[in-house]
Formats: sequence, structure tokens, C-alpha cells
Amino acid sequence: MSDQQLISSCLEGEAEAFKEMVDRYKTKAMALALNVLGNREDAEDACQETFIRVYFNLDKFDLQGSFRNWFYTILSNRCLDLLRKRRRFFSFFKKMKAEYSDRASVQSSSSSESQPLTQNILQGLSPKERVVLCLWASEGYSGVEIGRVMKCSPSTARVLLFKARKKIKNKMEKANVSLSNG
Amino acid sequence: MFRCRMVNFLFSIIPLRIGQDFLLRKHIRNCASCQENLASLEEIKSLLIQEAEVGDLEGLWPKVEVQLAKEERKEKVFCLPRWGWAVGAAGLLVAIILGVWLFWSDYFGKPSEQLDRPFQIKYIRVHDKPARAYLFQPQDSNMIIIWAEENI
Repeated sequence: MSDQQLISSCLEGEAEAFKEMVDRYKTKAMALALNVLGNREDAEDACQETFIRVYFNLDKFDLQGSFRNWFYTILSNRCLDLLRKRRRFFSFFKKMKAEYSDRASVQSSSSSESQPLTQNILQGLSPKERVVLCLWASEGYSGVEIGRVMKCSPSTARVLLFKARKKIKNKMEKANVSLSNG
Repeated sequence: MFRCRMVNFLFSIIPLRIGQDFLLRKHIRNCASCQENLASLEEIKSLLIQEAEVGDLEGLWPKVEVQLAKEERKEKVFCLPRWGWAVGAAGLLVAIILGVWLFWSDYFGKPSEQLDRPFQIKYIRVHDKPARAYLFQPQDSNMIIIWAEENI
């Protein structure tokens, strides 16, 4: 069954059709969310909220368009929103930390040290760069398609991708140097 | 090599994405030397979590299902007050219209009928005693002023 047929069935009120849609997209969604957000808990939340938004906005989806792009637009927006909230929370948390205790700072520094190297490299990118990179590498999207998903111009998408690739190369080289030295 | 350095320098100083994209399309995309400074698709794929590595997602659908049921219930709950407000506002409007209409007919009646009947004052009482009354009518006016005075 194609995406369009599934959507039509969902709009007719078939719960099974939506379950099938979730099954079809959950792995892709989770992979992208994990890569952008960097932790499973937030990624699961983002996926869950994305599917709920998709369900309640299916009637607004243009059946002539690409469902996959529309889905990734909702998902990437959700991930970016979550990161924005998290950043706000951490800035508040940092202020609290400075005022009250040193214990929290020790815990957070030890957790960042325990992050795998690959995650550290990815976390060095901006959230938008991570989204662009995932869409390019995992989904094989071109600059034009990434622009459609991210609601930006293809030029912006290509520049973001270029910057992300360059940053990763630099970080990988630095990591290799430090690994070979250490 | 000099050209590559020049392009990279221009890329870093040009603030506009369109300009940067122009350099990308015109030089960087086709230059082997510049491409060496970028992570390849394989390198990036090795960094990213792939679909096969995502793990068990069987728990996602039940969570989505529960959340959907909650959201649908919320929508219904939100619908009720919305209708309640609408019905309340409509009722209030009807009450105001009825009130104004009744007030108007009671206090003002039919003006044409009132004009038909002659207006008469037979006597005026002040403090329950017949009062002395004076009538004034200003020149060139239909207005009549009645002055009542206690009859001591």
C-alpha cells in the first residue's frame, strides 16, 4: 500500500492504517531523532509527538506532495523545538548550579566525558546542521529536497551541509591526531 | 591550490548564503582538493546511528495509541466549553434584545398614540396639599414650564 493510500484510509478513520504508517516510519524517525537529539529518551518523545501531530494534521496534508518530506518536516521541527527547550532549561540549570553547588557540575562533566567519540563529533554541529547531515547521508536527499523539508532555500541547505561536512572532517582529523598521540 | 585557498577565504568572508552557495557550485563541488577537506558520505554514515542500530521500537505504538486517546479526549473537553460559550453568548444576546424591546414598549409605548391623546394636568399637589401653579411659555416656543409652589 502506498503512503497516499494509507493516508486516505487514515482519513476514513481506519486505526489499523495509522498503525501501519507508524510501523513504516518509526525506524527512520527514531534514527533521525537519535542523531539530532543525541539521547534515546528525547528521541522517543520527539517521535511520539511527531506521530500525534501527523495524525491530527493529516487532513491538511496535500495528497499530491511527498508524505516522507512532510513527515520529516514535522519531525525535524519537533527535534529542533526540543533542543531549544533543552537549551533554555540548561541555561537556567547552569545559573542554579553556579549559585548552589559544585556537585552537579562534577556529575555533568563526568557524563560528557562518558559520551562516545562519534556523539561528541555530532554534538559539535548546530542542530540544523545535524538535521541536514542526517537527511543527506541517511535518506540520500539533495539540497533541493533538504530545502523543502527544512523550509529553507536549497542554497541554505547546501551551505549548511558543506559546513557540517567540513566541521566533521576537522573534528575527525583532530580526534585521529589525539588518538594516535595518546 | 591558490584558487582553492582563495575560494575558501571568500567563502568565510561572504555573509550571504547565496554567495556561499555560488562558490560551492562553481568550485568546491567539482574540486578534488576541496572535497578532501570534507567528510565523505561513508565517513558520515559511520558516525550516524543507522536504522538497523535503532533497536527495539515495539513500545512506541502503544505509547502513541495512549497519547492519541488522551489528545482526542482533550479535544472533546475543549469543544464543550467552546460550545458552552457560544450558547451562553447567544442566550445573553437574545435576553438583551428581549429586555430592550420590553423596556421600550413599556416606557415609551407607541408615540403616535400618545400624541393623539391631549395632555392635561388637573391639579398639582405639594406635600399632599393643593399647590399654587404657574405656567410659563417662552415666546416662539412650544415648551411649557410649570412652576408649583406650596400653598401656605
